Amino acid sequence: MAPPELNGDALAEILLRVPPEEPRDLFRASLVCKPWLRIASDPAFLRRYRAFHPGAPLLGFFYHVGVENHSLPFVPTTASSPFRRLAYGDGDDPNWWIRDCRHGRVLVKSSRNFVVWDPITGHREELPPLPLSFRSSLYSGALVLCAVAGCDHRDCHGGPFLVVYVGDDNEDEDVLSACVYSSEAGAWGTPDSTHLRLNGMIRMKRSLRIGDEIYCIVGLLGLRYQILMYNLAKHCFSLISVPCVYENVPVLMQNEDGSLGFAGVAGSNLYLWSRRVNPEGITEWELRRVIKLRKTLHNADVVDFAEGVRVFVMSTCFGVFTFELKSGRVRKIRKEINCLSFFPFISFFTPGTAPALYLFVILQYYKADVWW
Amino acid sequence: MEVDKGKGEAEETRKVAEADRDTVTLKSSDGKLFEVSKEAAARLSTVLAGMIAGGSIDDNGTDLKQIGSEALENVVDYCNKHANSIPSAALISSSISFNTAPFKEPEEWERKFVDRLSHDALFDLVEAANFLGMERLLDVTCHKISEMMKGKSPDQIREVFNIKNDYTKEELEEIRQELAWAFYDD
Repeated sequence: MAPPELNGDALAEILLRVPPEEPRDLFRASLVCKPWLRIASDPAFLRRYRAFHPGAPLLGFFYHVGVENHSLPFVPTTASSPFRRLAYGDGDDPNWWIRDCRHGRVLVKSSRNFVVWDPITGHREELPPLPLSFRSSLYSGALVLCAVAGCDHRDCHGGPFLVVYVGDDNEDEDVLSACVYSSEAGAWGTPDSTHLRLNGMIRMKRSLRIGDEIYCIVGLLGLRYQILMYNLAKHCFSLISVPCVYENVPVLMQNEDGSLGFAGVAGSNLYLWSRRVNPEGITEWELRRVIKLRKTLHNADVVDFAEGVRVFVMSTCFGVFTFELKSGRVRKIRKEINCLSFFPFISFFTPGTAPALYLFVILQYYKADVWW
Repeated sequence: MEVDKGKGEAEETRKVAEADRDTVTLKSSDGKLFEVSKEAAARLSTVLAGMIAGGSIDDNGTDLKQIGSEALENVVDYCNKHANSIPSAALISSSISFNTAPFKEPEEWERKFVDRLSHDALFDLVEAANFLGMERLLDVTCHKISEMMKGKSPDQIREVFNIKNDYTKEELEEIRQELAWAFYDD
């Protein structure tokens, strides 16, 4: 006997619960028949879908292997990935770097300018040149951020964004400057500067944003590293000492309570620190957790922390691994260890947002008046 | 007057007794009657909670014309099992804020409950849960169905759920080329 015809509401309830962690499942479901596609690509359904799940899933990592890039290496964390054979390409210019990846957007620095790229829609926006002649684009911190206050970043693709750049001044190496580009204004703002001499580069680890504050790990003369804070609203800088010096440069993270976190590995342990105000009103570091790591991760270099999904990327002589903070699950994502930096790509990827199927749906919409 | 007053009192008593009853009777589309704990019904179904609060529960069997007896039996079974199981902290919190709480994994007994159902019964139960506003039962049943779809190709899903393919060959080919990644595991 054929199963009962599901009404659209009940079918939507089923499709709503298809986990976003494997994007192929909702795509495959939408190819079962046209009524299923109609639901799975309906904007109202997709808004509900994004709100229903705890957050956007981790789809994988963009990474660097060398100085020249002709294609865009991507290591997926899903069973099937739309990004595996993705080519970024920038004409004849192989000299480009990914500088950041956040809120579904990728920040690329070519030999000319910054480009903000949405890998799902393919949309690119090239920014005007920086108003300052910075010493070198690599000796800097750069972030791309959603510009909407209070946004939960489930659905902000294509919305307004900011690009924050922190780096040395070309004219005076004792001066550090920061500059913010607003997509709404279509221009860089007036740079802020402070007298601060950096020793070497702001490390090639992703910077962090908490509220109005941008944090980068910087190398300073006579010290191994410190944390530079730049406040977007107050236009001021400050330096924060680190709680502990580790063999490898640690990563900055936002703790679940919103505080600034610091994570480093020593020997067989992962140390998680939190910067908090103590009962005497003094802000200080507090060691919150010590996590015993499995043998393959001993002495690992903590490469990145993917906010939102709370996953660490760690590199050892055995390869590159992800470490889920909540479950303790460890996965090897790459055998080779020649990668320089990893950029987590966290986004919903659903039929309505993918250009291919989106076009198909539009065509259907005009072709058939029956099923809409 | 005396008689009428007596009748009124009896009516009053009957109403009180009805309000005090701890079960409600539900009637399926094919006329079968089922008893379910009033507390569980009100806690698990927004629609039944509304009917109980609004006094539209019929002691002789509240008509649920959209739900067949097999699905209603499963609904009642689920409510009774739920009333008997010790609710975990996770379930209590999810029953308070249905629409905002993220999905919680089915408990062991819920898993067993849906595992024994045939596809038809499962689909019927999704419809019934949706009609009665039973968010948790919807979660559990839909979760089971989405698990059945996991990793399957569109062809396999059609086969499992016995769904007719209404795409033309050309349309499928077109999509298959555009979405090659979705058809192969890395």
